[in-house]
Amino acid sequence: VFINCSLRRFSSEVEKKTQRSFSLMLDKRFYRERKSFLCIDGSKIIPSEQVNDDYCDCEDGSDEPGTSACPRGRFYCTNLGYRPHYIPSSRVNDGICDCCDASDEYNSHAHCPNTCWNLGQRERAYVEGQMRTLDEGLRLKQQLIEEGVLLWREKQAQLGELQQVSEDLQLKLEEHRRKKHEAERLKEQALKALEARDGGEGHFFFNLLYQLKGILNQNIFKIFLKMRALGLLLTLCFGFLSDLQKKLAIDYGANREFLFLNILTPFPPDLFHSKHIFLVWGTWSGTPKNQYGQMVYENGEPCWQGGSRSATVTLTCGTETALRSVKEPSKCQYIMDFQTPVACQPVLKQQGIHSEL
Amino acid sequence: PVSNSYEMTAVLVLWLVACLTGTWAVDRGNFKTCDQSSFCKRQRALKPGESPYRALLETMELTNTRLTLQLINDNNKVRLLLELYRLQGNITRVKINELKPLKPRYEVPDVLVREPPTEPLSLLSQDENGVVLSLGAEAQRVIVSARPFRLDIVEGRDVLMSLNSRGLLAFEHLRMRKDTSQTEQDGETEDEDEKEDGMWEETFKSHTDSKPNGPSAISLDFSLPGVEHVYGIPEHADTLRLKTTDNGDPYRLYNLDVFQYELYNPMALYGAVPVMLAHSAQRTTGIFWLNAAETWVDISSNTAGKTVFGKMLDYVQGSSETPQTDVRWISESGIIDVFLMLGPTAKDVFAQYASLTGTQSFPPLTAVGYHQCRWNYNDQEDVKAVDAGFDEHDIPYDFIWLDIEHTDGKRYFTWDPHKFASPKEMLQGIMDKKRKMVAIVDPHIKVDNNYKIHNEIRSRGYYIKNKDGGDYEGWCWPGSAGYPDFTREDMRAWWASMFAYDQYEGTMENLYTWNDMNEPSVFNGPEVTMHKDAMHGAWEHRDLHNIYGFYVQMATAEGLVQRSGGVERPFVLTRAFFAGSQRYGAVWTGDNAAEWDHLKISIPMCLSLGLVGISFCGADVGGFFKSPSAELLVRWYQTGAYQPFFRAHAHLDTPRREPWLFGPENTALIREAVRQRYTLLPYWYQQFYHAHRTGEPIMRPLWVEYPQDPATFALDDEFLIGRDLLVHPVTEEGSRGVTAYLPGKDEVWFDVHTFQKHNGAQNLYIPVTMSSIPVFQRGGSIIPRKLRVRRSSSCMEHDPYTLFVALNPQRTAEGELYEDDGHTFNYEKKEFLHRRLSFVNNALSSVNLAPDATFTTQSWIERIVLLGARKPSRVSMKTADGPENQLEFDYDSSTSVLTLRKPGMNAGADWTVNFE
Repeated sequence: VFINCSLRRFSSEVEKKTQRSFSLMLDKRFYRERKSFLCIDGSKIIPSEQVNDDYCDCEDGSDEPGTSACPRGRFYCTNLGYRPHYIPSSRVNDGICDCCDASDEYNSHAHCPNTCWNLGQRERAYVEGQMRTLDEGLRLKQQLIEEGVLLWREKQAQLGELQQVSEDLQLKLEEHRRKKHEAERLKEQALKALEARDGGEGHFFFNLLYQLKGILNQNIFKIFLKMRALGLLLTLCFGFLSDLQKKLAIDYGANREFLFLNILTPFPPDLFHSKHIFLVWGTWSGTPKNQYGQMVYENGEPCWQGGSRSATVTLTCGTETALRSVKEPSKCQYIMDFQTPVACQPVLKQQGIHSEL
Repeated sequence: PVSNSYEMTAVLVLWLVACLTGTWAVDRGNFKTCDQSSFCKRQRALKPGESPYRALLETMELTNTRLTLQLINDNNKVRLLLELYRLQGNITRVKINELKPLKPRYEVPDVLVREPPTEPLSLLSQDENGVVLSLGAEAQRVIVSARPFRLDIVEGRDVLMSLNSRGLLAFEHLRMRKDTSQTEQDGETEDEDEKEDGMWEETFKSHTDSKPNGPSAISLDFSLPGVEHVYGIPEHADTLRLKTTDNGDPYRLYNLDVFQYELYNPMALYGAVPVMLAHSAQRTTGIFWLNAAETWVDISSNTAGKTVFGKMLDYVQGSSETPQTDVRWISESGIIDVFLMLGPTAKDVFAQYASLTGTQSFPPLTAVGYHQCRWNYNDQEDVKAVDAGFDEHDIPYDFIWLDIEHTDGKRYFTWDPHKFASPKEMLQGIMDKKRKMVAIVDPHIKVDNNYKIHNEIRSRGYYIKNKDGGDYEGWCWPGSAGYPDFTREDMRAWWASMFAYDQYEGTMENLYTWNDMNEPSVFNGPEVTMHKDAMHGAWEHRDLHNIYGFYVQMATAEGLVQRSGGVERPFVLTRAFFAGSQRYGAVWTGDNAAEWDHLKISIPMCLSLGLVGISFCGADVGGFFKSPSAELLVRWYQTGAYQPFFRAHAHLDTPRREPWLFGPENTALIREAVRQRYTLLPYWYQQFYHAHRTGEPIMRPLWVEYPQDPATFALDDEFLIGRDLLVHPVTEEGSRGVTAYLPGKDEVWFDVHTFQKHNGAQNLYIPVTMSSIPVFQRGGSIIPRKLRVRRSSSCMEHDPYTLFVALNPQRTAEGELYEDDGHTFNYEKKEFLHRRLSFVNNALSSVNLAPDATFTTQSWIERIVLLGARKPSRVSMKTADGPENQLEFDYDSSTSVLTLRKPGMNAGADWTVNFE
């Protein structure tokens, strides 16, 4: 902090070199004696006239904070009214305005206006807007989390129902299987008994046998049909069940706030100019600090000339849930910007961008 | 949508080609071998030693400027006319044409910068066997032998070059087709000829070449006694030293768009310069075969295949015949027009060739910086993001490039209305950073009635015609496309006018141009190019194919000059080229691949181009096809930073590869390589100025500077930039070290990074890490650098210089400093400064090399670094008008480096620094 302050002081002085070095002279900690300067890395002591004299003496560039002389030097833009920041020394007097207070072009042909106030205002307005968005976003997020709780319960209930239904169906199926077995046994027994009497009775008996056979078969067939219907229902049910289980297995965030997003297929069908392109959910790929800030879709529809499509989706805080942009910087590798309240993070608020301005 | 489907079709064709071959390599079957090119096959079948040609000495006429002589073919009695000129600067020109051709044969226009000035020839002696002429002052004679005809150029007792010594002169005279003409003029029989296939029609794959003019090939052989090394005849993906062709195809010169070209073979590529250099320790000579038709070059050597031991044995036994290289040129049509550049040194040959075809155009300084290209930067936002990426990662660059997708449906001179809706705004954004842009303009024009450029060309009749007289159409990026006839001067003038700011909408002065596909590339044409029977006015495409791309670049460069009112220097990159293309801009080695071998081959490919005048050469950094590993990409940046044209480029299908996408370590390595380029810009620019003045190559093989050291003759994994920097890039994967040959018996070389001194004439092993770029400064040289590397070269304009003075064992050094405004033609009006820097007798001084030139600079000398120095007790400086003052200095005894702190004089001043 101390170094920053002192550098800020002399580089913000744009009028004259002497003034820049003068301001430095006030900082006694840079000096062993009145007339020398110790490079910040401690590598060298140089006379104070050689500070900011447009020749690089210190390996670390510390003797030339106000000129372009040092290859690894940094120049401090005070940018009063906006955000102060460092630029590489190579941008001092290169004819391009970098600092909004114009301090980097004190000896060039560039006419740099001081734009700090405007920038600051714009930034403040922007930050305020962001803050409003954040507040609103966080409110919406809370709603979504609450809805998520309900939704989760609903889904869990659905899961329970489905499991119940499938169990019922399985039981019924089993029951019918038993019935069918029973009927088949009955039929066999009856037929055997009748066949054993085969002989004199002639036509009457034959007709009876024929009719009985018909009745028994019909019975078996009915059971068979029911079983088939049950089997189909069960397959459907299993399908729903596994879909739901898959969905529920996904990591929806700490408060299941992403539950409402339909992560497996979040993209509108007309996203790729009405081409049908499928992307398969991969994983969350945000930073350790913000794990849910980015998602990756992989193994999508094969790409012409090899490979498969993939997408990296960045989630940003906003009051609506919408895809803001899709880019394809390399072929079949999409980069998307997805805005949603659930990406709003209260942490942002604590960083206090306000106070810096 | 229509254009999309066209494009898809075109691309699909390419894709199919790639798939059918089953490998990621060129489909050789798409391109002709000599056997499949009927004239090559016919000519190559001729046996040496059976020349039917006889000189008719009685027809000889000798005027002050030329000798003419008739030759007769004793088999068919057809007569040829030989013209021989002695040109100023030790060049002999030999022209052979039919004495009375049925119709005129094509003679290549516009390549020679002027009608070459002649010198008088004189007759020394004559008898019935021949004539001896004097070739002026150099004690050179030309001996014309009558039977069989043969020319020998002799200096003292040495034969420099012999023509038709193997009797392979051949001239297929124009004739009427037998079945269409009843009158055979001289009643001779040509049954033997007529048996040959392909004289009146030739089919290759699905394409039939109608040959209304019949056979018209020409051929001539040259013997080069004492020569074991020949170079040149680009463009081939092959070694610097040309190989003998006895066991394969000849080297082919025929401008072709070769999809995924293969390395180390004689197949034709995008450009053709029919110039060969021959070198021995005694002499360098050159042959310039001025012919723009399809050409094949055979090379044989009597020492080829002999082992070193065999050669030694010959020497010991005294049985050795003189080493000799024989060369034979075969062209499909036109005339024999050959310039024998007789050296005697390589630099003389460069000067001789420059006097004929001109020198490298002097580019704007910014073009010597780094270029960032990709197929494609998708839209304005993308361009802005990439531009910002360079600033964020503190990597300098000067040019960002837009490939074909920036246009409105591949209609050149237009912008995609959605992706590039406000090009001026984009260009202004780039200009605000003092950077530039290049947009592609290809010569194939979309056939579309709603496209202004097409309508104009069609209505003016400027398109090349097909054999039936209609506008020639072929498939290229836009789908069906016409090809403007750039061989027409009026067409070129019109094309140039299209670059005016009010014609080419959305352009500004920081937009420059790239001509691709100008071989020309025709996706559905024979060998992916134009049908040979297409017509350029009275001439067939066959006659002038190789010069088409030359004209495209010529017209484009002219357009860029004109739009600025003749003030600004143009910058135009071309893929196809011919002799003389150096006058119009830069070339690159086309669609290479992200492979280590492709990185390696960039060196001999650019060296070969430099030898024939085209200095502004580079290869796509990173490789165009495929995706480079981080290691390959870094090594390629390190190599490209030390080659004249420094541009990264990538195919549409490859993942992004901007320098910061490979992790912080690789970003730092790439940044460092690019920064090294920028610190050396003053030296590079000076080299361009020198090349522009003299025609000498910028990137040059070692043998050019060390002509008597045979160890240098075949080196093509290292090279020199100018005279003073030797570069041996690391081009091997996983390399731990390289062995560089440092030439010069009494010389020393300084590692530019460590300042360590090494002796010359040794193979030096240099251990390398990923950050190593082995570069050495020659002891005895002074190199100016600008160490304050900024965002772009323009940002560094007024920056101070650091002079690196590398002392030789005699404790002397010499160098130059050149500066001008960096972008206009005002240097031609003597607005530049050119200083000679020399260190001698313990004094370093700067004197004016161009006292009649004026230029004021803001740049000053901030530092002087002496390599190989002794510790002085006192250093003082004296300028012309100031008092003598003492300079601070710092001496590092471990490296013998003396650094003078802030001498501070203006770079344009006279000054002397004394070391006591």
